[in-house]
Amino acid sequence: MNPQNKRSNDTDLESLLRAAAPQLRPPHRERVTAACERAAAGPPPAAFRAPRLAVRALLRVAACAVLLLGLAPLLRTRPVTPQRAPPPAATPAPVAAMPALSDLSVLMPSYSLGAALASEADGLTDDLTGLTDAINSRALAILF
Amino acid sequence: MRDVAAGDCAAFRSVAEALEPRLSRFYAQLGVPEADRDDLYQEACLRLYRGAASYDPCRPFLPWALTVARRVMLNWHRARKPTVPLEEAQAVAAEQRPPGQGAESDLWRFAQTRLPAASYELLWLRYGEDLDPSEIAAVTGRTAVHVRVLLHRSRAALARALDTSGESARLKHVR
Repeated sequence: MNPQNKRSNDTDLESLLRAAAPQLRPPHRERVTAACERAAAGPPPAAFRAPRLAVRALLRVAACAVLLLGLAPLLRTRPVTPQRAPPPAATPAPVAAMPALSDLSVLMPSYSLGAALASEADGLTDDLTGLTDAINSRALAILF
Repeated sequence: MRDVAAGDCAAFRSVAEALEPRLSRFYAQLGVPEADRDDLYQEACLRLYRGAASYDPCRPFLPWALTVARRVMLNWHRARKPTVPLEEAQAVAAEQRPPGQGAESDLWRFAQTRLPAASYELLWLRYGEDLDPSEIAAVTGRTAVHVRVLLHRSRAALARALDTSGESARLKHVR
């Protein structure tokens, strides 16, 4: 339905309901008199007390205080940590003291890696051979 | 109401006289039988008289009075027997006309037969008693937003019922 039509229908229905409400008739005197007599026969009403505006205001303030106390841990900001002092500037003296990059062997002794690499290669070859044998035996087991 | 709280009978009589047509119509619209309206009116007046001191003059009087009257009616609903005498039931059945027969004034009767009691009560408080949603919320113990939502649904349900029964076009024609 078109929203404008819907709004128009709502307005129509509201005006229909208002128009269809029964009119008020004049008060029923006997009924009123009976009610007054019944009220007068009972105890008098309690003394009028002014609305407790101050109490209400105090209650609102107390409620706000409780709410703020509950929110305080959430709203509390962390203390700012003091900024660290910058590290002292490194002096390039040790680097500058090197005569040249070609003299690296002066700083680090040279090692011979040939024997170690050859033994590692032999180990890898053995592992590969064992793995191939295992695969072949499994494959034949599946076939037969 | 300050005079009523001080025990002024004349002031109470004027209040009771002003309220009598309102409360009678309120009870009649919400389905209280004629025989019980007098008792409910007197009980509501008695409570208003005794509770006059608790009335806040800053607030409108009619919603407060209707709140008291509604609570009296709810107590009456709870206390009464679930059955009605046969003569009374026949009288009610004879009094009710089927929807579709009647004039524009039967719209409320149509709504009463087609809507749930709570929806009908909200519609009556809004359009019959002309209360604001916030005042209805105070009377019925709901929030104003809830009342607005329920009113919207009640209007929609009533419009659907009118459309399906063909009453809508007839009412527009009567209007």
